[in-house]
Amino acid sequence: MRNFQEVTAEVFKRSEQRLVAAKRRKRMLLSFGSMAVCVVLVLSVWLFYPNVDRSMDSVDESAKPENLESTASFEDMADDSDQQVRYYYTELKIVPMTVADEAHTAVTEPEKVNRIAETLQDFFARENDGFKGESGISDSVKFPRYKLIFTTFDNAENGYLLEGNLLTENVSGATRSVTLTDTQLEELKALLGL
Amino acid sequence: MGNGESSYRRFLEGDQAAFDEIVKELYYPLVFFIDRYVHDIHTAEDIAIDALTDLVVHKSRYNFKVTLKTYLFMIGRSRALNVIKHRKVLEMTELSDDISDDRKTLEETVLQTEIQRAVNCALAQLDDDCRLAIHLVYFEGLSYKEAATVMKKTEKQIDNTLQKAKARLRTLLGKEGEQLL
Repeated sequence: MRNFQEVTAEVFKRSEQRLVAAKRRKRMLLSFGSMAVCVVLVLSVWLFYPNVDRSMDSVDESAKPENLESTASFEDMADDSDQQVRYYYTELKIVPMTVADEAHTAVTEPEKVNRIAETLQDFFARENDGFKGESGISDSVKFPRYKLIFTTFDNAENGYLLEGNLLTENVSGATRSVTLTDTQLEELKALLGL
Repeated sequence: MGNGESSYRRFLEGDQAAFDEIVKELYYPLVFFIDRYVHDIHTAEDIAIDALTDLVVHKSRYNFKVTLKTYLFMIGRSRALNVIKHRKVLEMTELSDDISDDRKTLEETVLQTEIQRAVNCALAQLDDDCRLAIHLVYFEGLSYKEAATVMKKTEKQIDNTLQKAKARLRTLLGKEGEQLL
């Protein structure tokens, strides 16, 4: 049996050892913890950023219509100051309004449809720049009326009414008109195949 | 405040000598109690020193809600059970003279009367629970509640165990023994 002095000495010796061991454990835990945090951070950076890039790419891919011919034309349209031109047209229906029985003509080539849409927007843009048409609506009598219905890639529709030299746009209930010059009218008729 | 709490308070306030008082007061009873579990004086001493070391290392663990003796006995019991659990092979060794002398010294230190020694001899024939309950209540002077806390039982269970132990001791010690309890 140990005597009391030995016991007390042994108790304090063991307590010192335990405190040192506890400090060492704490230090190890801290260093291991910080290392683990670093590893997690590096892994998450490594895993997360490529995913973001990939997901951004996939978003871009899904946002683009399949039949969009060129990225350039998309960007041109998106950058256009006229914010109403945002659609990618996939089809154009040309509906004559003077002859009731006449069937409508459909243009389904995206390139051609978009070129027509750009031309129409160009007419409106030139009108905004201060262009004044030379001919008036009086010509409408000589020229049959046509309804031009553009279908976008997400199946929305934009309507235009061509009445003589007067071109009226109807997008989401908002209308605006422009009087075309004879040259513009000829150009449009050529594009529409009228 | 008895059973070492005041000494421990003084130790926490920085009085190192107060710890000697705790050791003097509680070391041998603690070893004797732990020996009831491990049946090995040296292991019991080792566990008792570990339990006392806990008081030094984890100063905030003891909340003074139970007596220091009860607290130390709880730690001792827990550590003793842990040692038993992890003791893979029960080492069957001859009882050497040293160990035998140590036990005798310990018994003489803790059990100060002949009567207590007689009861202690009879305790060897009781089961563990009865032996421990008798030890805590009659040798260490703990209340039923404190004994229940140490043994992790209810007071009722302690009461029942003691009744059973007393009945057995009556048989073993005869009328003389009955008077002791």
